[in-house]
Amino acid sequence: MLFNSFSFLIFFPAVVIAYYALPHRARVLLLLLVSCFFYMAFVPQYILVLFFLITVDFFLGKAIEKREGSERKMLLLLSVFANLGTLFFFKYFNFFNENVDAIAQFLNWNYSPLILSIALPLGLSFHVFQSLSYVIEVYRRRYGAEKNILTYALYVMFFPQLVAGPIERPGHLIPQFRQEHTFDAERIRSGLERMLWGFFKKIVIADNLASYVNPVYLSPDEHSGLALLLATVFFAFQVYCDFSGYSDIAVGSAKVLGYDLTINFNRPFFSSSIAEFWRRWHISLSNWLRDYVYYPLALRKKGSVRYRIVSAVLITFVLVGLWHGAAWTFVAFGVLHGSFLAVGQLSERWRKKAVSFLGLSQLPKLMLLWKTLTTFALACAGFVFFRAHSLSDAFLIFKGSFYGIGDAISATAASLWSVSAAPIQAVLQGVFEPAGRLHVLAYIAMIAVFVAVEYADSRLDLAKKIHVSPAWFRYALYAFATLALMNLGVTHEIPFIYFQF
Amino acid sequence: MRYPLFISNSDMTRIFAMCVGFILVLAASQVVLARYLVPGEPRVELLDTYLRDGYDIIYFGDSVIDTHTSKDSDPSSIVDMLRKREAGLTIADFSRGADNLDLFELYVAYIARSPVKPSAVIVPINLRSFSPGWDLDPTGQFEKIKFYLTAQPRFLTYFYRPFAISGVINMNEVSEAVFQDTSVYYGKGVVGKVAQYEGRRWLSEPAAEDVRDMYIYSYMPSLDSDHRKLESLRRLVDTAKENDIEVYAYITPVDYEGGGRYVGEDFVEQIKENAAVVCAVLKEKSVLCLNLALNLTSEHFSHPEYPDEHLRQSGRAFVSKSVDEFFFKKSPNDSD
Repeated sequence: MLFNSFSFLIFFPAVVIAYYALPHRARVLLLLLVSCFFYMAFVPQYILVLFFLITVDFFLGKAIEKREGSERKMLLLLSVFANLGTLFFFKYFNFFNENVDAIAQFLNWNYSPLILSIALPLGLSFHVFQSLSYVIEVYRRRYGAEKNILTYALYVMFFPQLVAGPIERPGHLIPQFRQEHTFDAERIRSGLERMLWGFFKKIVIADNLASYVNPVYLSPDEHSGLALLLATVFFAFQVYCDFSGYSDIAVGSAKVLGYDLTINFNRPFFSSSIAEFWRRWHISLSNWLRDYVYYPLALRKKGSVRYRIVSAVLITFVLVGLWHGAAWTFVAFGVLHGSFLAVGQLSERWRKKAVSFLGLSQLPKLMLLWKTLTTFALACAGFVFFRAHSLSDAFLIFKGSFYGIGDAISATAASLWSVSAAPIQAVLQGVFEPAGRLHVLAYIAMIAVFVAVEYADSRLDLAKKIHVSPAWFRYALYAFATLALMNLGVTHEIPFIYFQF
Repeated sequence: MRYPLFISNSDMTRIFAMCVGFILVLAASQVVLARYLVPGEPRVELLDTYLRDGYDIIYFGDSVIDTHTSKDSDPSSIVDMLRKREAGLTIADFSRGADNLDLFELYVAYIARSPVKPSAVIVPINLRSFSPGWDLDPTGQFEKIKFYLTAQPRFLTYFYRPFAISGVINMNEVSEAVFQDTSVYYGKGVVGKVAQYEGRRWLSEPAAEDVRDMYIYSYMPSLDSDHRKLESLRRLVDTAKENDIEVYAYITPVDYEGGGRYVGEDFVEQIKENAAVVCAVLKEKSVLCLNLALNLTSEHFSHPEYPDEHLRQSGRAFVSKSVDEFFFKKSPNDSD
């Protein structure tokens, strides 16, 4: 079931009413049943995959807790194998075979690849990582194995975060299932506000931007350089509003039911470095990889500190890329971000010297603006790989985008020189072509307003301000946002981008 | 149990009441917004105008009705020409590019609900409208018009956008994937998938092979009498009869010479066979069938160099004359 569907509009209020009408002891079962229903609205039979992972990890978790020494490690490895094996089978098997086939062809080997025609179970990467974090935490003795399989099953299947996170940790979520959550009007209001903002970001901003981005990225060779540049910037906001919108709906709907989920985004486009960007973007995944991959690699005993850190960063970010999808474009996305971080770390001292030499340290605000814009540009470069259909498309987009900058500069110069708007008009025509002039201008205005709202929120904590504002103002705001949702969305269903992962 | 009944908790009752109140305010705001700020559906508004003005006859159809070329000395549409012939009747031109039996059925159902009805509707049936390229094209399903025509009570049309955005209305009757994967037939044999044919539909300089394939794609599938558009035709006739509205149905001309040139003798045979299936459906419902499919040679068509039903002035004049003579001047006993 999609959050942005009519079914969810019926499903969610019904769940909330039933949840608060039932006694505490029945609520876990209710949430588990409705979560099964929620998941089975997609591909019903794939719930068996979830049941398999839940059963395996529940019993292995209990066994790990009781055992000591190498036996514990073996059981942990068994769980990791079951989880990653399932993920590999559904997500990476065909990708792996296609690449083996390509190598075999290159070496003139006779190899007939086995290609499975299976769809990826929705949100599998999220479930697997969440399940793994449970087993690892139990192994590290940071969390005791869960005694009740229903509670553990709900930890994996809790419907607000079932298909696209946030990726929770057992210590954060499972204890909340044991607490009794009383009906709290303020909490519900706050949850509904967050859901409304999430829906607004998804339906009004992300889905509309998609109508420009999709045709441009579908056939990049048919669009002008500036259109490619604009589509990439639009995609950055599309994917951010899409995924953070989903996360807001997830966090908000859990809050309505009395649960706190991990905040997944913290205005990432205001980051002043790529390292900060990853502390603010998909926080639950970044933290997962930091705790379970990066730290163990960086803190190992072999090699120099610099070597360990750089190799840990690169390996972690290749995994970030692969986590997103079984394609070389995602690997390139991860490698690019890993390289940004590695180069950033290696050049830090040199950059500080350069800033000091140029006297830029005297202009901290200008420096911050420069660093923020540079970080955004680097993030956009990563998004080209994230969105492109193939590596060759991605390189075509990079090449075309650079031509786009050149075209824009030369058209501006030509217009100023000849005092004629014709050259600029010609360039702009290419920019407006994918969606029409009015739409493109509306999208740019929409992004400007969105950035202004995010900036104001970072300074003033708008949610708090709204909370204490007069009731008439709040309700006018709710009504405005809801009417915008009802009228400004697109009329064909656009699934959340992160559902595919 | 802490809260045995939902209603027993005052906070819950308050929130519930506030939600209901908020939804009512939203609904009222949506009505105001849709009524005064958001444009409605022009096709339905035009039909309303025709019904209000009490036209005798409403002429449906696709772009064949009014498309003309620069070589035509008289750009009049088929409807204009018919009006000249039948000066005593008021005939509304309700044709539009890509309209088809799917919509005609809903137009008649909509007309049937009107207090003022025309005495007859003219239903041109384009044989290409049964081909997958027209019948199943996702962009040609006209979901919005269909919603406006069928929404009961009509008040619901104010909620068209929220319904469409939230998926209450199926805005994707045929998905692109299903469309592209649909089989293309030559007679009863599969010759490929839509994906192989669609890309060549708009070639600026098609090779002879491309033109042949476009003729196959457009006309060569053998028509089954249970095709969904023929089911629409059956329901259209039933509704019209129940409401004392005459149905004047005819099959629009096909450039059979062009088709024959590229496809061969099979082309004319297939057109004959498909037209016979349409006429049989009409006959089954006791409606006259004017079959013009094989009545015009290539020179009467706007673009004889590729599959096209658009007519030149002479072609349009022929159709209007035929319709006039067959339905308005002739006795029903003279029908085929």
